[in-house]
Amino acid sequence: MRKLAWLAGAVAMGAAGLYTVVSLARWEWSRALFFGLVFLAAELTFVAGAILAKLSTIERRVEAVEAAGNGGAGPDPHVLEALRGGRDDHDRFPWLQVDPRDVVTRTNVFITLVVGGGVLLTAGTWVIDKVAGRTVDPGREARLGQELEAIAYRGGLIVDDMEARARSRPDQEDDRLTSFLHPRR
Amino acid sequence: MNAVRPLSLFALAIVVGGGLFVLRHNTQSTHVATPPESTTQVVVEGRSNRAEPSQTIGELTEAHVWFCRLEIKSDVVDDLEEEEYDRNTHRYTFTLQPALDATDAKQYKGCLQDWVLAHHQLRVISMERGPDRAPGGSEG
Repeated sequence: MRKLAWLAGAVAMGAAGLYTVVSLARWEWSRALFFGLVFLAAELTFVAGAILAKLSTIERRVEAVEAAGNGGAGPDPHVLEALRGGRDDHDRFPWLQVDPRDVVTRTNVFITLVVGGGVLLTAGTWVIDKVAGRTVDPGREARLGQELEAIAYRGGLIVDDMEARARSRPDQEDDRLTSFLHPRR
Repeated sequence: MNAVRPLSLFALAIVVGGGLFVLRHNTQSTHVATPPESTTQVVVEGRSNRAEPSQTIGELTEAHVWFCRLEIKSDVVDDLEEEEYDRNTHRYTFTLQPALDATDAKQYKGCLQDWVLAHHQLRVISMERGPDRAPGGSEG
């Protein structure tokens, strides 16, 4: 594209210069002035383009020299690699690409493992719940009650709030007060 | 390889020098006296494009012809003879007296074909020596 622009400029300048000379030779002064202006404009465009191209080259060289002067202290290549790895074209789920031929032997299929493991764990806890439920029956409960009777606390060992307020002296037994507070005894 | 650059510069100098010589030869005025009874007949084709509606091609051509007459020492005698080709193209014939010398002929032709008037252009069809006629009088 740049070469095409340069070519177009060169053609315009050459044609304008040629027609300027031809118009002068024909004594056509207005035409000569017009084509002279076109030639001048094309020439100025050429010169400006050449100067800008040269400045661009110098700018690139200065940047290269500055980069070399800093000891080549550019960005860390590992950081660059990590940044480039995070672009849109990066495949973030490579483990989902399962080859059907070796799907059985692959161990990194995470979703399958989670779902399958959840199903297995649920089934195991269901079995445990059912088995544990079978271990409790009325006979076992009666025996457990009798065993717990041995470790039950007897009355008077623990003074609750109501007895503490009713008895002026908790260390002395009062049968009437006791029958009032515990009618069953 | 080293001879290419001097040869190119030499060729460029030849071209530029030749061009300047030809340009000087074509643009240098060299006038010669012509007999006062001699005439030059000029035929031009006038075209207009988007001209003012109130201005005809004949008026524009007449102004153009008289403007260019200021660059030469001959005068336009008689009126312009108009011949209509189409709506935008007319052909005109007129006579200059005395006849134009070579330089005036080139200068006058260049002026006629130059961009002098906006929306109007002339093309010189012919510029030939006409019959002699008495100055300020009839053809003879």
